Amino acid sequence: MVFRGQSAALMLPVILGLMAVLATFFALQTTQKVFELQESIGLANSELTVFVPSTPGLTPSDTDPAVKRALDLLHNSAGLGRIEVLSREATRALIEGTIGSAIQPHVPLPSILSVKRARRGDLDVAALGVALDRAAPGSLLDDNAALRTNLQAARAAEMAKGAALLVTVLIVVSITAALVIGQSVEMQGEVIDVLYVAGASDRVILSQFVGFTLRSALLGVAVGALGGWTLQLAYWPRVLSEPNTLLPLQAPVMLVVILLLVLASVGSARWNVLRKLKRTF
Amino acid sequence: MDQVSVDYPSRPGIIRNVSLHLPAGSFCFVTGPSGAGKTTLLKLMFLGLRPTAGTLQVFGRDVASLSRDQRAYVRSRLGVVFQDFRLIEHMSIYDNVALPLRLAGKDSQGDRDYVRELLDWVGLGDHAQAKPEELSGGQKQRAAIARAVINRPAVLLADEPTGNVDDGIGLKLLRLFEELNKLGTTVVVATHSESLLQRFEYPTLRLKQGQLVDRAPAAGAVAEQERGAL
Repeated sequence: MVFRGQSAALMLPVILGLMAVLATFFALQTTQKVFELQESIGLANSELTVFVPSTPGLTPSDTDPAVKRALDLLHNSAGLGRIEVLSREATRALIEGTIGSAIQPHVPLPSILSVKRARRGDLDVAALGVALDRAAPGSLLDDNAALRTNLQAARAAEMAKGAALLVTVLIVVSITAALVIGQSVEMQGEVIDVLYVAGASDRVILSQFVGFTLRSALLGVAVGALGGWTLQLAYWPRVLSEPNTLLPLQAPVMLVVILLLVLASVGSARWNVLRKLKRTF
Repeated sequence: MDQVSVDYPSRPGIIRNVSLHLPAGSFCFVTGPSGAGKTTLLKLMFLGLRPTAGTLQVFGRDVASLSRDQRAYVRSRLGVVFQDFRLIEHMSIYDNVALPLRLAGKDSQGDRDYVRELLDWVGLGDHAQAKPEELSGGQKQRAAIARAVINRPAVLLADEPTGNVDDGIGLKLLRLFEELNKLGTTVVVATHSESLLQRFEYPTLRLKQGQLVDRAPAAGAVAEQERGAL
């Protein structure tokens, strides 16, 4: 080994490793939220809810003719899949959950129909709403438009937050790596001079320095990553208490990030050494 | 060198219109006050610096016309001794001296024996495994000389080799250079030590403010000053 790192130069990859682990961890957390929101948006897109007001004068055991007409219409409409009528208990729970208070037993409850949209097939929601109102006057068709808007806004906010975090970390890491490697080349200037006057070609000097950078980067990033994962332990109980499908991806994502960092370091090392060599004859 | 000049952005005219020719097998000194351009002149000779103007030929070839790999080959035929030794601190003296051989891909038993012979020749046979920090200034300089000549260079360039050692050791180092010169190596020594110059009968190129202003009348090196400079 012709080159050997100073302690300051060795600290860089340690810090980079630490930052990479923590950034990846929080980025994955954000991505997890984005995935969950995406799932909710998909659900909202795939379901319709139909409210049919109860027909006065019926006993609990009677079949509501308005509901029957609505069901007939829905079954005969293209672009729809499974149709489910919520039970009285489920309906009551849903309404009470929405308005936040109990409903008196004598208050008539509307019927709620949960309708899946077919994966394929066009559906004219507005026309279906009009047809439902004709078949069962007073019916309401909710295609979750408001909920979708809210979810999409939340998803955009999460994505912006995650992207900002990653971009910030990448910029800071890149600038830090470039500056410190540039400094390292200056600090190793005398060794480069010795190799140069000893007749080493640019290729040999580059391979020696790049080898040194690789060793330092891999060692430091490994130590930093270990430190980062140790720090994460404090956060694990909270993470494990929530459903999380993306966190297991941290290891492969980390490998990619480390690979990118190492490649960036090697690129920066090559550029700095070549720049120094080009200043000679 | 033919009308060679070097300008630094912060210091123009560090070498001005210097023309000189060093015949193979010669020995000469380069002298002058601090800042006269001695180190820069040597840097030009070992291709550590690109001239701002003029033509530089080494071994009869215009360096500007060579590829970077060809220049590396030219450098491998030069040996350079720095005033501050430039030994690599974390490597042993043996490894420092053997470095140019290893860079050339030579690490046979014969090569290893040759490194030991050379260390014996410079009086460091017993310090092969020592680190540079364990040696005195004179010993470090001898190790630097051994490293400079390990590839049997055609030209040895030494920049103030006696600057960091006392006069007695400086004299011994110069004797080493004489031995190498007798073996056919061209030797160029930059020094500001007048006492050393007086002890040796070799041509002397004298620099002042980047110009070659004088040459001692001796056989060997021939300096052609800038027209009208003398």
